[in-house]
Amino acid sequence: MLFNSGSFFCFLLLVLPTYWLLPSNFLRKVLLVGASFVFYAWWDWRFLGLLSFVILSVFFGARFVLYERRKGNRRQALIYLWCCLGVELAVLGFFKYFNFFEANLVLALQGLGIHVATSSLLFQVLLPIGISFYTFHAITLAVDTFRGNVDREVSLLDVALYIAFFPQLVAGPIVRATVFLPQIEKKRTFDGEDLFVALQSIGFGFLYKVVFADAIAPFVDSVFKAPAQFSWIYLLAGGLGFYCQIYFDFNGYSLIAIGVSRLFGYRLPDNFNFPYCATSLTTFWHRWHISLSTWLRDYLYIPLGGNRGTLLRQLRNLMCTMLLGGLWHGASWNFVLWGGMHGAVLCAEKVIRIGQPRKEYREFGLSIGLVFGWLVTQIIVFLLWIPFRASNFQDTLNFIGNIFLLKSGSPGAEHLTGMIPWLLLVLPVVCDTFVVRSLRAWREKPALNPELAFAILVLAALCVALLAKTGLRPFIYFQF
Amino acid sequence: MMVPLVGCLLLVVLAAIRVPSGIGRTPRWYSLLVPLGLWLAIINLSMPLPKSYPDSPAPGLVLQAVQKLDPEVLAGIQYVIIVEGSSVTWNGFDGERVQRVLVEHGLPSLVVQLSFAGANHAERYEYLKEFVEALRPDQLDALRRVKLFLCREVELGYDKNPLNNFLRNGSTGRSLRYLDPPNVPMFFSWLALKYRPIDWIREHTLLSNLTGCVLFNLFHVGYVPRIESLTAPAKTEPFIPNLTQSPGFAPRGSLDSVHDSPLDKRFTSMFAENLAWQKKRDQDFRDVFRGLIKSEYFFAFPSWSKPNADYNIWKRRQPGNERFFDGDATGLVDELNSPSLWYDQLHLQQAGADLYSDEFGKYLVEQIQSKSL
Repeated sequence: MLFNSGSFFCFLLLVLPTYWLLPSNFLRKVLLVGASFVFYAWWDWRFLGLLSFVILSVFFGARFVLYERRKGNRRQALIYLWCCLGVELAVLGFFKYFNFFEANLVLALQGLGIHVATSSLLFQVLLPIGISFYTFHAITLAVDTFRGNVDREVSLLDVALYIAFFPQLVAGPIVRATVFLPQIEKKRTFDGEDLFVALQSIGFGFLYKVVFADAIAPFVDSVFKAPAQFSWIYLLAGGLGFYCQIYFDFNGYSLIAIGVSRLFGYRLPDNFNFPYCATSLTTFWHRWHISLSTWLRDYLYIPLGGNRGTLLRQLRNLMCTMLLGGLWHGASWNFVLWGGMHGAVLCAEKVIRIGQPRKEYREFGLSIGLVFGWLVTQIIVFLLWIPFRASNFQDTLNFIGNIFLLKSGSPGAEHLTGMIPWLLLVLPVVCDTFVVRSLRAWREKPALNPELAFAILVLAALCVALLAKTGLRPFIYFQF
Repeated sequence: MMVPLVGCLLLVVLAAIRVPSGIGRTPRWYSLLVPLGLWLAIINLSMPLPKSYPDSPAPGLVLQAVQKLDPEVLAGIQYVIIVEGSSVTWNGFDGERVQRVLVEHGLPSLVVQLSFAGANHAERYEYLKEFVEALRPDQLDALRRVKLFLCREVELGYDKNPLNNFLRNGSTGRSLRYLDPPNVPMFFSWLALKYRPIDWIREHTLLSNLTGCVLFNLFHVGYVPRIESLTAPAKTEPFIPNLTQSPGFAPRGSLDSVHDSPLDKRFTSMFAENLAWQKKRDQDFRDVFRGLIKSEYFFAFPSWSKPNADYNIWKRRQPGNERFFDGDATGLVDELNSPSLWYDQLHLQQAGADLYSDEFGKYLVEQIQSKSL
């Protein structure tokens, strides 16, 4: 059930009024858990068992950890934590990476002269949608319980709602237990401001997804499908198209998820903060997929040692985090390359000490250094999106190589006029990064009368429908 | 070009509005309904929706039909035969050949065909409506001076369900084009006459899809991207003969035996259930040509399918259906008895289409001469 489908619209029309009409918080939570299971079953009901297993395992794991921690038995709590993490990581590893490791094992064996047919070792494993996100939620709950950030016995219903809450179930944002659990403790009250912010967020999300991302997607798909056929200028335009598409697609999804949650009275954290205005890769990661980057920082980078120890040790921690972050996106060497390259540039920035937070506040001052930093950062981000999107390693090399070698081919530069409408889709990125960002930051903007503000929202929604690219196109991050 | 530019404007508008924090109350109803109503009125008055569905066969078919009605050509014409139909007509009715037969018999005629594969009655109504709307005043004057016959296909599948095939191509430009809001009340009246109240529950998929498409059109969802990629329609041929046979076609017995066997009573009661909506549909089709039609004919193709053959016989025997052609009382069924003339049990191959068209031409000649039309 995609957010941009009629079935989700009907689903929401059914669930939302029922939720607000129910008299108790307990019934509301039961409804949301039931609705979330229906939402998940819409894709493949067979994986409901897996989702339930993850919920149950973390519920019991967190309970044991809490029990031992309260007794002051930290060592025993740590053992339970590792058991719980082992279960969650085994689930993630098996369903997400089994085929990848199997294929690479076959290749390695073949390299050693042992001939094994591909995919003949065991069996092909289907990837359950959203597994990367809900296992991360489970890990968060277990670790936060161990750390004492969650210091109460969380009921099974609350755990189920935290893990399976449908707006963030399949593609995030990754919400901390410490942020979500306090919100579901009390019955939410319906508030006009919540409704306004929710509809505004959903409006932005749909504009990003069905107007901008989906409009550019056919062009991007055609270029990435057979990059060898295209001249350098088309490859450049295709890469630029994906640079725009992924931002609008994923940010659109996140905003719809945040808006839908807000309709139920729950606040999810922001996932994007104008990443394409970043002047260094360090600040880019403070602004892109914030819920993942902060999760990786708090649950991987810092436990690995973080900024403690020698510079070499810090760089090792950073590389490990980014490589695993890349692999989290998908079981493919392309994602490892993507994560590794990001890690390498972040390490370089760490060594030469750029991208430090103190510079952040003046990044759009008229400093030539910052403009240069912005340009270089965005070129790096653009180039690194190519392995992220390309089908395989060879396509990635050809794609980037042919751009730098100014490869001629068909269709060539003479067909450039045909690309102008596609290139114009870069305009919304520019508008979003510079104008919308300024407007969002404008604290003195006049507050409208609620009726007028809602009327504008309705008209904006209708305009989005008018501009929408029709036909259902799934969100890119659903594959992760 | 419009998408990024208007999209940017929307981005700015969405970012620029805010409400006072802690407003606490929800807005009054009119803040949601008034803009919705205004939108519906303005958008439907200002943006011609059907033009935005160039992937429908309608524009191409209408174009070829309108181009045929050259007033200079019409000056020497006495009869204009308008033929509408679905795939059986598209594959089996050669309008040019019918025209030749009429001319050879001293009847200066012009055959204008509007048929296409998979076209249900709702779609065929749209073809005819767009065709008449596309005619210039001089063409309409010329049509008023000649004798215009409307020849309409009869086929069981489409006569059972006015929206046959809709679910197969729902939400495509093709179905969205004929689900233009002005047509919707008429289509719902057909469905209301066809289905009993209990049937509406069983047909919930059809209804929800239909409602979705109507809302889609009503609010002009996706209008701008479609209109931006609009290309001038090319002519669509209304007759495409089949040159091969379907691999799955393996008839048993002979065409004669199918047509000569007694009517199956189970079928006839089902045929009768559809008369109410068909009557309304026929009137709606006639209304498209108000003041222009001299006479109306119905034609059906012989078939290897027993229900289809029974339907033709049953239809022929209905009172008031004397202007109905299915080859009965001619040698057509004998002539088409060879499976090699057929593509499948309903659709003819080229040689079969030639035979059928010749016989239909002769039938029209006989009708015109015997009834002094």
